[in-house]
Parts: sequence; C-alpha cells; structure tokens
Amino acid sequence: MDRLLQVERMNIDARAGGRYAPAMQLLEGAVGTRARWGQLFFFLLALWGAPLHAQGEQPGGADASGTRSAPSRADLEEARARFVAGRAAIEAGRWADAVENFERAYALSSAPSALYNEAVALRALGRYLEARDALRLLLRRHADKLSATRREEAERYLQEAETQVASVRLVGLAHAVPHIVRLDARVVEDDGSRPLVLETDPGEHVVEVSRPHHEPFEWHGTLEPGETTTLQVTLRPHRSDPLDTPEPARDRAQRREGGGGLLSSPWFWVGSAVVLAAAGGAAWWYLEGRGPVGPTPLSSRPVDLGAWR
Amino acid sequence: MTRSPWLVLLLILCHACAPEERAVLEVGLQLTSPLTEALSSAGPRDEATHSFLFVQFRPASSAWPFEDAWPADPRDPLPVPLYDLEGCQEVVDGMCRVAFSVLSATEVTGLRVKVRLCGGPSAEQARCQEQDETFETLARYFEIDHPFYLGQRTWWGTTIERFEGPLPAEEISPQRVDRCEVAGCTEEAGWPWSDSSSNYCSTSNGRHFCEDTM
Repeated sequence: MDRLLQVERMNIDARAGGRYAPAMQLLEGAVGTRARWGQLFFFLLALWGAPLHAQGEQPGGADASGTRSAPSRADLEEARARFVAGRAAIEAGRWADAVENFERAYALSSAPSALYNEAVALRALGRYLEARDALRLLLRRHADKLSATRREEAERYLQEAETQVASVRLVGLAHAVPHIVRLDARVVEDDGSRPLVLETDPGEHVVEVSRPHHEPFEWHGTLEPGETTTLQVTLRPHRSDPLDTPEPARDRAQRREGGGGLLSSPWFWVGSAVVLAAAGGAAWWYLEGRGPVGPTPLSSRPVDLGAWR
Repeated sequence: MTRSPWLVLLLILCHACAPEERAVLEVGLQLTSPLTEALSSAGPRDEATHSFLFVQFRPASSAWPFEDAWPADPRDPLPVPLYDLEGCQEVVDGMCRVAFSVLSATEVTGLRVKVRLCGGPSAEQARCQEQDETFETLARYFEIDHPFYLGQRTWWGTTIERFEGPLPAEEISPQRVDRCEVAGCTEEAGWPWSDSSSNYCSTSNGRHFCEDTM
C-alpha cells in the first residue's frame, strides 16, 4: 500500500493540485509485491482471454469491409508490452508517457483495462476533455465487461470530467463557408454547425479563425472549469484582395473600400449620364437644325401642311 | 446596375431624337400665254387691274371644305403679282410658271388647292391675304389624291387656261387629281404640265411608283 500511496502522491503532483484519481486500482499488481505481480499476470492472462470485440467492434486492423479483425498474436504481445510500459510510466510520474502507452495498448487489444487506465491518466494530467471522451467510450463499449465497482468509478469520473470541460462558442461565422479554426494552434474541424462550439480544458487558450483572403480573428483568454464563453467572430476581407471574396461579402467590401471595378463606381455612372445627356443634346441640336428627313423643298418658302391639321 | 436600363434609355432617347420624316410635293402652276398676257398687261401703273395669284393649300379633310372661305394665314404663300410678269418664276413661251413646295409629315393626306385670282383697282398683295374674299373674283379648285409619300419628292403641275366664277358655293366643283397623275419615283419624274396624260403608277399592280420604293 505504501507504493500505492506513493503513486497517489505522484498523481496529485502531476495534476498540479487537482483531485486525486485512484488510477492504480487496476494497476495494483504492477506496483507492489510479488503477489501483486502474480495478480498482474492473471490480469494480463484475462486480458488475452477477454473478448476482443464489444458492441460489434473488434480490435486489431480493419479489413476491407471496415470491420476490425481479431488482433494477431503480435498485436497482443505489443499490447502487453505497452500496458507494462504504461504502468512503469505512471510509477515514474510520466503521465503523458502512460497515456501514450495505454492508448496504444487499447488500440491493439481493445482491452477495457487499457482504456480505463488511459482515461485515468488523462484525468491525472488535467486533460478532462480527452478523459471524458475515453470514459464515455469505455462505458458505451465495455460496460458489460466492467465490474460494478469499476463502472461506478468510471461514471463518477465521467461526471467529474464533464463538469470540468470548458467551451468556446464562435458566433458570426458565415454559413456554408468553411473556416480554418485553430484552438491552441491545433486545427479543429469546422463541421459547419453554427455557432461553432469548441470544447477544451480549463486554462489559458488561444483561438484563431481564418478564411482565405480575410484578416484572421484571434482570441487569447482563460477558461474556468466548466465555463462557456461566446466569441463574436468578425472576419474582414483583405484590402489588397477584395475580388476573390465570396458574395455578398465581396460587394460589401467593395463598397466600403470604394473599389470593385469600374461598373460599381458611382462616378462611372454619373459620367455616363453626363456624356449621354450631352450626346443627346448634340444629336437633338443637329437633327433640329437639319430638320425632318426627306427631300429638300425646292421653294425657299415652303408650305407646311401640318399647320392646318 | 446592369447595362440594360441604359440601353433602353438610350433607345428611347434615340427614338425621341429621331428626325421626323416628311414628304414634299412640288406644285407647279402654268398660266397659258393668253391668260398670262391678259393678267400681266395692265401693269402696276394701271390702277384698274392689279392682279395677284393667291394659292392656298389645305389638307383634304372636313375641316377645309372648298365652299367655305379659308381664312388667310401667315403661313400661306404670298400672293404672286402677275402684272408685268413680276412674280413668275419663269416665262416659257409666254406662259407664266409659278411653283410651290408643300410639306407633309403624313403620307395619306390628300391635298386641296385653292387658286384665286385677286385683282381690281384696289388690289394689294397684303389685302389678298385677308380673311374676307372681297377680291376673289375668279378661282380654280383642285383636290389631289395621295400626293405625299414619306421620304419622297413628288411633282404635280397643271396648266390653267381660265378662271371660273365667281361661283355660288354650291356650284363649286373641284378638279380631281388622281394619285397616278402625281409624278415621282421614276427617272422621268418632274413637272407634269399636261393635265391628264401622265401615269405614275405601275401598270402591273396599280401601285404608285413611290409606294414600291418604300
């Protein structure tokens, strides 16, 4: 138990003051006495023998039809090695390494224990968003493989993670126009939903939104646990390249900047009207001076019959 | 704004600016030599017989019946002084010829022509244009059918041997001039001084040559 407490203390340190996560409950056999090693052996044995698919999904590589085939023996060998490495990483306080190893072990074996330990390690790192997703996956895919105690723990951790996850709502993004959205320099898929909601962990963050030929939007701020903040995103077209922006933003930009080509210039139309009026006046003057079209009367003083209509 | 409204506006302006097309009928009157001699012999010094030829043209409409006096109008041609052949444009074989140009903006207008001889001891050019027809002693009346073709020049001429009258209004009988007596649109078009022989319509279809040129 001393080792377990030691690991618990490391866990606390890793979370920088966060709450303790009893991540070692599945790893007791990995950190203790010879008896613990024996438990680990049987755990791994059970892992091997455990059904490798749950809810219709199978670990291992995917075949041509998209369904996952049963893991090969080599995959299971690597999964076991990864699991042991993850355990060692936890013991050394290398929580990020533990996450990586457990993640790989789960990918190879689909063992619920690997996924659970990955979630606990993520939680220990304060990566609540990933921990939440891992726990949701665990409960959705492996609930029937978990003991009642383990399931209760998973549900409790999930509830805790959900209260920690913060959100950023991006308002003002144009519909049907893909944007490049980055959260802490990581590209987030713009699925077209509006407002676009970004979930993340509490702490300091940077949000960047950009579109081609527009000045990017950038926000720096701190999100408290569970906080949802709304950002009004306004992307202004580049002054140097207003023509390639989609309608109707392009027209607005052109009007605002006084550009947009000759036809959109009011001076063009004013000038056209002046020229047209002048041409019309000249034509009227010329035609009036020339008189009606037709033969020239021979008499210098013709009689216009129209005077007596 | 697209260009279409401007094009429409331009077409409207062009249509409004488009010059009015007109037709010109040249009317020639030729007084026979005896008549010319009779009318010109008095001369301006002879107070007894000052003669003027006063010609009026009006549309062939109900507004201008021959039997009514046509009020003189400043736009009427000036009375032509005949004494001493002063007002004749040319004298050919003793015949005095005068000519008038009549303009019309419509093609179908028939033309009525009043040729009055204004004379007497007190005859003056100005008074021949007055509304009253005090000086009207002798006159000739013509009604020309379809003398105008837009864009074309036509000719009609006649030789006057005598003047009639004065006649009571109910006895006035104008001389009808058929459209085929109106020259135009042929190579030989010009003054048709004979009264009846000319035919300026196609023998095949009866259409005036000026109709076929349009």
